[in-house]
Amino acid sequence: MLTAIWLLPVAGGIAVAFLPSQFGKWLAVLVAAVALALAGSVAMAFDPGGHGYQFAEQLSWIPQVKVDYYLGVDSISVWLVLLNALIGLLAVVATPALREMRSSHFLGLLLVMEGGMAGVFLSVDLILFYFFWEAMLIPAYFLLWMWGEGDRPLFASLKFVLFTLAGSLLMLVGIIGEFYFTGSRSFNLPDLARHQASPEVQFGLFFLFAAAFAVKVPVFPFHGWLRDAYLAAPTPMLLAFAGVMAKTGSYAMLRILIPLFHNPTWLWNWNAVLPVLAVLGIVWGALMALAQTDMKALVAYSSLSHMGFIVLGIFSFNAQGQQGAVIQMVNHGLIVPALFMLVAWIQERTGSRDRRALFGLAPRMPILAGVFLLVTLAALGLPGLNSFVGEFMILLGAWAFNPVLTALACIGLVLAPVYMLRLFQGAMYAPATGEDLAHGHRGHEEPRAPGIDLRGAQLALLAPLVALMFVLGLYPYLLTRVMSAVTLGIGLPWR
Amino acid sequence: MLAVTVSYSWSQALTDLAQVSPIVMVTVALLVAMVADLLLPEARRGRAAAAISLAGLAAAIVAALLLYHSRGHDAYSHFATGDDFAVYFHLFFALLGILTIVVTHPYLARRDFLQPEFYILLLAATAGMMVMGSAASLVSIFLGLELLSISLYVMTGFARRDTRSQEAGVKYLLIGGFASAFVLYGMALIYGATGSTVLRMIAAAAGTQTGSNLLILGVILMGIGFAFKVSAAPFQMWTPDVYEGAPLPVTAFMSVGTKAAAFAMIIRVFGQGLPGLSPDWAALLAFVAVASMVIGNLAALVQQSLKRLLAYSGIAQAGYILVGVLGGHGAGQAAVLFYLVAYLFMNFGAFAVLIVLAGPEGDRDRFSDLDGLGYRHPLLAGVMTVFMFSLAGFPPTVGFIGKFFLFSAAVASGYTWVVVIAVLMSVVSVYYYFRVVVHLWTRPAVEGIRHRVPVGAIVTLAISAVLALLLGVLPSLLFGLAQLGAAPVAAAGG
Repeated sequence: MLTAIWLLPVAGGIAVAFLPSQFGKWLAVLVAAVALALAGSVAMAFDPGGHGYQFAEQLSWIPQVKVDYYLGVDSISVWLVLLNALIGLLAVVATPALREMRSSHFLGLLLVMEGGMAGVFLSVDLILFYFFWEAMLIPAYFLLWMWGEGDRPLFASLKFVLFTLAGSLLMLVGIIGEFYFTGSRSFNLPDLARHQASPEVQFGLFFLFAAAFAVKVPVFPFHGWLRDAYLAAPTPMLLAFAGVMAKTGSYAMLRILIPLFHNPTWLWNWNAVLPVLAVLGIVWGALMALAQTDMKALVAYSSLSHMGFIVLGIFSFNAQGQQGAVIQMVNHGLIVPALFMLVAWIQERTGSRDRRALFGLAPRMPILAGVFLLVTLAALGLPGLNSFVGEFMILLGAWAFNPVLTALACIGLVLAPVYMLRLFQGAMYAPATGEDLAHGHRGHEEPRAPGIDLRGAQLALLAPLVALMFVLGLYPYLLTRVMSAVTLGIGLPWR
Repeated sequence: MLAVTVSYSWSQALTDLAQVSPIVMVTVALLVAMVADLLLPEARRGRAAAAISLAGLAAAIVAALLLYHSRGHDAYSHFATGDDFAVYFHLFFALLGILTIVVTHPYLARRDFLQPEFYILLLAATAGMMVMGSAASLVSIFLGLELLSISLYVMTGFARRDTRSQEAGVKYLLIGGFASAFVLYGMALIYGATGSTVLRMIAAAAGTQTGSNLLILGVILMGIGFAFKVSAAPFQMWTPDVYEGAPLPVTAFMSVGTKAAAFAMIIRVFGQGLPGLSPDWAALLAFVAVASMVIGNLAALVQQSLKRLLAYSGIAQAGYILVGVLGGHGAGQAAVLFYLVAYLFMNFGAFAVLIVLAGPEGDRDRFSDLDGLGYRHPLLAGVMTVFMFSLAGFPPTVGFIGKFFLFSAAVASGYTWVVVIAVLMSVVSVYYYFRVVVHLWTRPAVEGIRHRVPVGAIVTLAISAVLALLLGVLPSLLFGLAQLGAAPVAAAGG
């Protein structure tokens, strides 16, 4: 069952890549839909009261070095697997007939990437986890490079791969180190969590693991690849890239870092460092978002800020904060794809992504404006929409952990409405006085008169995301019911 | 020390012969090919030599398989042994020889090099490598080393009308001769210190005199010679020039063959012969490994020729493999044996693609020669992409699993710092391997070049690429064999 969740998109993706576009497109939709159905049925059948991994599959993979093929879902990964499958389907459907005949290659790679990310969420064995973690880079690299936007997609993709790889190869050393230095002689997460190494060893290993995850999320000083990669990413890929791939990092922090390293203290305590970095990221991302004029870059930096909240929640070391972090991972995975899609459609209609060049769009496309407002409010954490619950829980948890940091993190909350509402108001309702164009405008073309509003198909793409924003906003218990306080806090689902 | 056997019975002669039967097969093929060269009309000599070589190598594989798991003993007064370590390398070298012949034959015909001497030299070099893999004493190791080296000197200069090839041949001869002298001097000192050239007796004698300066000097001198042969830094200077100058098939054969043979020799001598001195030579090896990884990877970044790029990548790869040698304790040796096979598929495969691309006027090894290959010949570009990802160590290719085994063994032995340097250098390597991939798939196709890809090459490349992926997903298929192969040496090493 779990094998099918990752294998189906991978095998399907390879098949799609070799088909001509017109068939490939339909097969891709079919594969993604079946994958979503599989993930959905796992989530439905998931036992909220159960402990440990469910639907586990364990086979000996490389017996000589005790590596197992070990898959399982727990109360956290089950939602991320579902999110991944949903976003995967949306990304496939959102792929328009691309400019070249190679759109089936694009869809194939997209599906392979989806399968790789599903594998990351499903793996219990660390080597298997690493296998998927790095294998998903290959499709991401090709997608960013060959279909990338902007001047230098090759540069952006290579920068992304090298950043990520520097972190993840260090993690490989860390994984091997866990095997030997904890004395557990195992790569399985539950076994490793039962064998805590000495604080000095934990200190070193924590760094090796955290390097990989911090780059992927990204946590504050490791976000150098973010702007280039997000700007270069083609929209369908960006949905999965920003919506799900960033979550692999935060998921790994919650599922690997927290249980394996209870006390990574030697020269300093890493567990105290990461919340600080998270808050720095929140503030930095918000400030950078304020300074952006490119809407895509603005959303990218706001994403950095929001991921900071998730990391803060994870490292608050209590059930509330970590539950909030999980909810927020799902929320962010719904909101960011929606925002990026809207930005892409505005660009498609007006020919510009520069927020200063856009004004008064709402009268001409009221539906887009309405949806945009809704998603913007969701991103800001309006009560009744999904983000509110997650951010509130994170702040509650973080307050219990450290009030000062929490207060600083609120700067991010204060700034978010500034950049988001300014973007919305400017683009949608600002009068066409020409004042915006007068100063500081770097020769962007006059926005073309937008012809039509959102089409039905595009609305249909957004509909599930928006519906889920309401559902999760009004009924967050849907997610939290499986995450009892027992499974979080110390982060061991198997105890 | 060497007891003279007064009665040497027929039965013993036969069992001794059985122990070295794969080497005998190759040598017989070599002799037959030489005689055939004299008897056949000129037009048919090249083909005949290729056929005879293939038959000889296939026979060697059969002989090795018969020997497999037969608990080898030292034959001919400790000349050679047929233990599983030797069998593993017999199979390896025979396979390498077969792949080389299959891929090379059309190349030689195209470039008008189709002469039987090429195959005769190839067989001689293969026999030399096999002797190195199965040696039980320093003398036979040196014999194999020289047989390999001298054949390669000639093969490097095989493009008679190409001055670069001539230059490379002379350069390789001079530096290789130098390295051989180091090895021989080191061996002499070790003999002086321990009173024997037989590895097992050296191990026994060295165990009692760990502090002997004579012994340590011998180890250092021999280690320097070995480092030349595996092209490890700081003794790597010859590698890029020789790789660039030599005809492509020779480079391909040499890049995998010499490296594997030299690592067989290193494991035999250090792991089996001098396990008691491991603190001394391990420090030396750690330095050489780090230097190779740093120099190889950094220098590869700026290369304009693919042959030179692969030469520097080979230096870096030698560094990774040395990390596994540091691991020791059986796990390290098994990891090295595994990685060498991985290296055979990915590195030889990469060279094989270049061999297919070569034109009648010479080798095409500039980056621009690869431009748009993905559109001209997607299959070639596809397999090349697999090889590059594998060399870079990405899952799901065998390169990743191989590195995992190597690094894992080294961490277990406490060389975590070397492994950290190794992984950071792997990140650097991704840049230049990806550069190749970029040229394959981005630039618009250059019109006017058509590649007629021979069937043999297609089959070889497809098998290499499929195995590079299959062993990446199911490594235990090969790793079990590698462990068996490492067992005799690891047992001696304790």
